[in-house]
Amino acid sequence: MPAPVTAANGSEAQRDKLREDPPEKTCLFVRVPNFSYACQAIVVDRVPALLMDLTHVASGDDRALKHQVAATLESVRVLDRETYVHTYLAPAIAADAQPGQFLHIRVSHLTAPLLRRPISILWSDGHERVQVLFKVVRTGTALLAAKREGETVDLLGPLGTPFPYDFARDAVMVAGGYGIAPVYFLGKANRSDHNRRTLIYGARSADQLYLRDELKEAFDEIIYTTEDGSLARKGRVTGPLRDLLAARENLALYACGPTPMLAAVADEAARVAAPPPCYVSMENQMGCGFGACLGCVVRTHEGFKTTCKQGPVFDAREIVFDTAAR
Amino acid sequence: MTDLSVALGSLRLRNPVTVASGTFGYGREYEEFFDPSLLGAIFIKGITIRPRAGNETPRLVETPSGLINSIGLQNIGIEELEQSKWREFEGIAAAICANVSGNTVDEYEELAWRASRVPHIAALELNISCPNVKAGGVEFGRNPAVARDITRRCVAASAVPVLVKLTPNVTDVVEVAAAVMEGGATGVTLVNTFLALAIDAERRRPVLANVFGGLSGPAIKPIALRMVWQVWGALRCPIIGMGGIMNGTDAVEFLLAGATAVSVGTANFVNPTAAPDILREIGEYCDRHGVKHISELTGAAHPGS
Repeated sequence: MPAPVTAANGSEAQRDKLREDPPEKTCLFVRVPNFSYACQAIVVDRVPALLMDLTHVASGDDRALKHQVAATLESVRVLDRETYVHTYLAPAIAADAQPGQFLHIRVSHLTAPLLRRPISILWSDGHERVQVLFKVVRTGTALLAAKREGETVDLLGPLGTPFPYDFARDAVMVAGGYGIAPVYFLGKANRSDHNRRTLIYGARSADQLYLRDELKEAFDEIIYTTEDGSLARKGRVTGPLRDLLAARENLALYACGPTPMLAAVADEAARVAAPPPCYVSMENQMGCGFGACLGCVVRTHEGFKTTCKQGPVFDAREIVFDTAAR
Repeated sequence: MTDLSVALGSLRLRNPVTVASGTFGYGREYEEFFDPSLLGAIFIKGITIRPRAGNETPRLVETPSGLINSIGLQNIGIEELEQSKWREFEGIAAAICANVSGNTVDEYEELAWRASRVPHIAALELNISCPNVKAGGVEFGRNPAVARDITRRCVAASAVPVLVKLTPNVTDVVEVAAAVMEGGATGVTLVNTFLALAIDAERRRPVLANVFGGLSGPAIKPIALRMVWQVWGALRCPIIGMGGIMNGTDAVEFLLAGATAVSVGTANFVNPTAAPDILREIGEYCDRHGVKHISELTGAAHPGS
């Protein structure tokens, strides 16, 4: 069976090839909007034309839907003194949210803090609820953490580009610290028998590896690393990543975490003989969150791009990391 | 119902709410939140002769009730505006105003000629006040004689009315406003951002890659308001007032200080529907106060009004 062309990864050349040389059977993976993230695999006879249409529907801006809603904070889960999971009732956002996208949250209706806070989406049930994982850093996130169940919170989202996902390759998902949020979403949303999902999750110490129970259901295999050796392998995510890249083939990499980690993941991906696709979710200070202020740009080989709208997920080969990691 | 249409000299706007250059892209960036035709005018992202990549990052830092930015005029350049970008203006009822920035007086003149002839451009805004570029920018806006000269040449070259956006980083804003009005400007936009600095104490370094940036947001509102008051008091010229406008009351304060129209900037980043919200709130204020025509408010807080 040839490698499937998915809506997210199908290149023009691949599509041309399909037009010229249509396969006898085509397997379509269809995500049902407004319902669930379970992917339906549909095997059909010769549907390159339909495939073209689906590819179009799912590409780029066509699905960029944004909502500003006053969402009810349904539940607060405190993971530790500075780490929270919020569950918001926000059907419009939940219906459109995809792994890699973020919410831009207005933490106060006063003028300080003035700007919204961008926070990665941890999970969406696809129709009603959306969750975020966040760390209290300074005033803004402290105000968010102080919100009580039942309060309304001003959410803008879902914003940014989602992770493309390739069922034809085994997924290696790499998370550093709070970068676990979109990676968890990506793993859980794409549960299937079609490929293997491996998570490499690193943090400074064991107590900063969050949501370990939940992660079990989202991934086939989990490799933890801690910098202090308090759990599993001592060191950083790059160690096990290098081993995996050496031992396995036909992989795709998806990563979120501190920029130096992303740079290291991109390096590891690039050094193997046949470099796998590698997608990274970049972190940045943001202004508007939807491409207007140009405050959150990241340097790419095609010039500056906005993290909020052209990202946060980029093909790692696009990013000029030495500047980005400053 | 109040008549909300305003006239800045020969430039007529459907209503007094505009969006500030650099906060609204090229007019379509907020379309998923509201119809840009609701606005009185859109000041598009500052245009230069050549495309500009903009400054290194970090470019933004939040401060108490404010935002310091140093974007550095990242833009597509006049050629792309002339050749293709203008098509995005089609179907937008708001007046599209091109904000232009030159490195030299000649560049301003060339930009005025070219930008004013781009389809759908209703007015120009000369940016002689950008704090974030090395050449030109704010230096022109600090010198009344130079500001007058640039204005005169741009007015002569332009096919549409010319507004001039002034910097607040001067001792006497009235002097510069008087100079550009003498140079033939249709009106002035008051004010651009205040030159500012943020320092990261832990790293012992400035936060922004460019060291300095321009401060905007509610933090500057009282100063901007004072400057609008001064210019109106001295010159009675058309003013687009801006600086930290977050809601309808803020906007009305600027009108009362002497502005004919207002511009919403930083608020767009916080609340993408800030501008139409502010328009609605101005309407509600007018209803509450029995205002028949919005122009009744301009300068109405001055003694003797």
